Amino acid sequence: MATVLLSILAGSVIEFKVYAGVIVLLAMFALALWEVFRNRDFTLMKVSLGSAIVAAGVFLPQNKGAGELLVLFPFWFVHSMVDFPDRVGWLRLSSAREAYFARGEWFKFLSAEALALIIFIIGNLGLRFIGLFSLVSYMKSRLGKDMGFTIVIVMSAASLLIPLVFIQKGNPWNMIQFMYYFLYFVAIFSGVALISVLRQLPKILGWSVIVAVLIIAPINAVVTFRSALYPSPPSRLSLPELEALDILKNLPDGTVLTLPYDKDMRTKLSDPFPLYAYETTAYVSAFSGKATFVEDEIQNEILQTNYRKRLAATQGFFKSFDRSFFASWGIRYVYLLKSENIGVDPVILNLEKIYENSEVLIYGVKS
Amino acid sequence: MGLLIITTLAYFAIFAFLSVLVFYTMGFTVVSFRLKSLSQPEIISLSLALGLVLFVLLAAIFGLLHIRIFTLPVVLGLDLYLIVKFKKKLFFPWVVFLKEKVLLLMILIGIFIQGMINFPSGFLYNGGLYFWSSQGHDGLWHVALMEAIKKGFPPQNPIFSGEPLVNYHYLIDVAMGEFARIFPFFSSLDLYFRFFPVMLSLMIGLSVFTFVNRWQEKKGIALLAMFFTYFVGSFGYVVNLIKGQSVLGGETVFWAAQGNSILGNPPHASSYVLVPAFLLSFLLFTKSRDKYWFVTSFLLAAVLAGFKVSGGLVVLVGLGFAALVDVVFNRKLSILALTGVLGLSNFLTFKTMTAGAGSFLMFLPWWFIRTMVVAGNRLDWIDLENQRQHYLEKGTWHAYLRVAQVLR
Repeated sequence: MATVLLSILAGSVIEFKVYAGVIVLLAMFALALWEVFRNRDFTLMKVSLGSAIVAAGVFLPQNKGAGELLVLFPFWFVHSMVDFPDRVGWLRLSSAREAYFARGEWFKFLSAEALALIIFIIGNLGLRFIGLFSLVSYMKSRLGKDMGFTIVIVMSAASLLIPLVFIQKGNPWNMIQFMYYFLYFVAIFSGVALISVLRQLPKILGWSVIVAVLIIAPINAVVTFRSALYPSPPSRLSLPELEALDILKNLPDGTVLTLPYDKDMRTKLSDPFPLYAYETTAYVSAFSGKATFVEDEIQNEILQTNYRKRLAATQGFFKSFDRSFFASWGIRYVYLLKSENIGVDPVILNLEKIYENSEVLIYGVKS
Repeated sequence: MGLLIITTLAYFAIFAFLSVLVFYTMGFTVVSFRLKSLSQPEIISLSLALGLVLFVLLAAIFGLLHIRIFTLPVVLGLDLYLIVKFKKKLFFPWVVFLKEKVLLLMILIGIFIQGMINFPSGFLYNGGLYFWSSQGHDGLWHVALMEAIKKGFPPQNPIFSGEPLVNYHYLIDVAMGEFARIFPFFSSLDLYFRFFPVMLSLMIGLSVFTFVNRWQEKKGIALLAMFFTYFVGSFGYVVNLIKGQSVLGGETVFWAAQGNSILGNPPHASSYVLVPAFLLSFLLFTKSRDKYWFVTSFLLAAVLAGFKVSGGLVVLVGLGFAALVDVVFNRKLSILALTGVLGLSNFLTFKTMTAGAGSFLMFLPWWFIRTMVVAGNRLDWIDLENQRQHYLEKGTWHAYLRVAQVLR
């Protein structure tokens, strides 16, 4: 009873004052650890952990900014894998699922969902699926007894379940990264499974299985390896641009304004695409070592910045050429590509030309 | 081109030497307390993983205190101390690669296969720099981050000027950016596309090998686990085959990218190093319930959410469940204690690196002393503040000492 009361008292401090709460929790943990290791006394540890749970319970619901990144969307990955033509693209299964759901044929609907889930799991695992057998057999004998196995099995389950239930706001596919730990741990169990295959089968057959697995399994790795040898990569940075960015790098620090990414540029060119046409990227910042006003919209979406406002402001500037834009946003340099044909008048905009070559113009904003 | 390759290889040799001095020796300071109970690959694997975490923590703390100028002297001083203290013992574990030929061969092939997604990109070819795979986007984002970290810590958002970088797990970029800052003769492109991938791939292979070898007590299983981690992918080629396309393709048709392309995502690669290293340490902790392995496990996963949020969350969920089982069935609380301290450290790391952290805690050392000196209703000693700002502006090490002197 005393433990519960103390836990509530100590844990609720964070609700009144965050700093005090953190200090109380940390101090109590330190004391509790000391008691556990020094005197084998767990009383304070119980209070400490109880108060941590209470603190999390009162604090987290009011500080869930990061939690808003998650959106509850069960089976998004499974459905999109079946539906999207650039993934598995099994349209019959996709329509069957929709039809069964619409007609209320629940058994058939659940069967279609189960089949898609199996394809999702086994497909992603590849030959590692053999690891599932040893994982299940270990569960019977070691779960709860072998703490190493217990933590691995729960990590695997959490890693599989999270992307099956949630997606990330803005970039739903980003959530798949949770699943990589499941793949990783099943890979470990694949080693266990192969060794037991070797033990149980006759020697020649066992070794044949192992050799077959070793040959078939790395097909993806061969593809990745081979892709690096393609003579025509997807993107490039030309020497004049590299030279211009190097000049920019050596200038005093300041914000760089670039033209917003225009995906139509890509349709006019062929690969390897210049980085400015390839995709919205961070290349001006990467090569100049300077912060850009707004660049790489995909990454800005992940970072949850208000980049759309800046994009709109930039687009507005390149139409109106209102020079107060520079002072309003603290712009020091303007990085322009000649191929984009932007008619900037340096006199009206109070700009000085810092560098020019066959592809690039760099202006400095006069103070 | 030939000359460029030779120059790059020469720089790589220097990188290899320096990365051992920076990461391995820093982690060795912790591992050295248990040398007798660990195998040679375990010493290397744990030292490198701990070194990665400790170097990042050192960079972050010195960055926050505005004393980044001391990072290199501290690292080199530590190296000197360890070399004097341990002499040959310090580097002796690396001899294992001369004895364990299969392990060495598999690691070398693993580095080569995994690294190919990075190695050719960002090289100066005849027509300029070329980028394979999605490196033109993903790779350059990390290079931009390295450049931002070279300039300051906490980093500013390189693609959204004037704002601090939040909502991103950038600790592996801190390791790469800080390394680039203290050794400015390396190009960020070489470090990102060629040198760090080798180090991370070596660490991925070694950490899975050492964890499984200790857990399963069978080298064959550990080698196979390493093989499956390095090389095995999805059944995407089966889908391609059904669709009548080339069998060589389809890695992500089931969505998940595979281990062979992991180096294209450094935060993910770093979690593939730290999670198994943590599990090895945790395994040794559960066997001994020793304070040392408690602290080591804590160090390895203390800021895991800052390397990879998903890694931190998955470890904490697993650890929490293991703690519950341990309390209920074994009547032991030490795993619960580990869960508690790791939960708190990762929560603080996560809060600090996400939006809204500013309202939670601000790191402003000496704020009370400084405001006391300047404020009109306190000491009102403006001259002292002017001196402080003058010396801070100079930014040299003796200027920082003067700052300490005027504020003492």
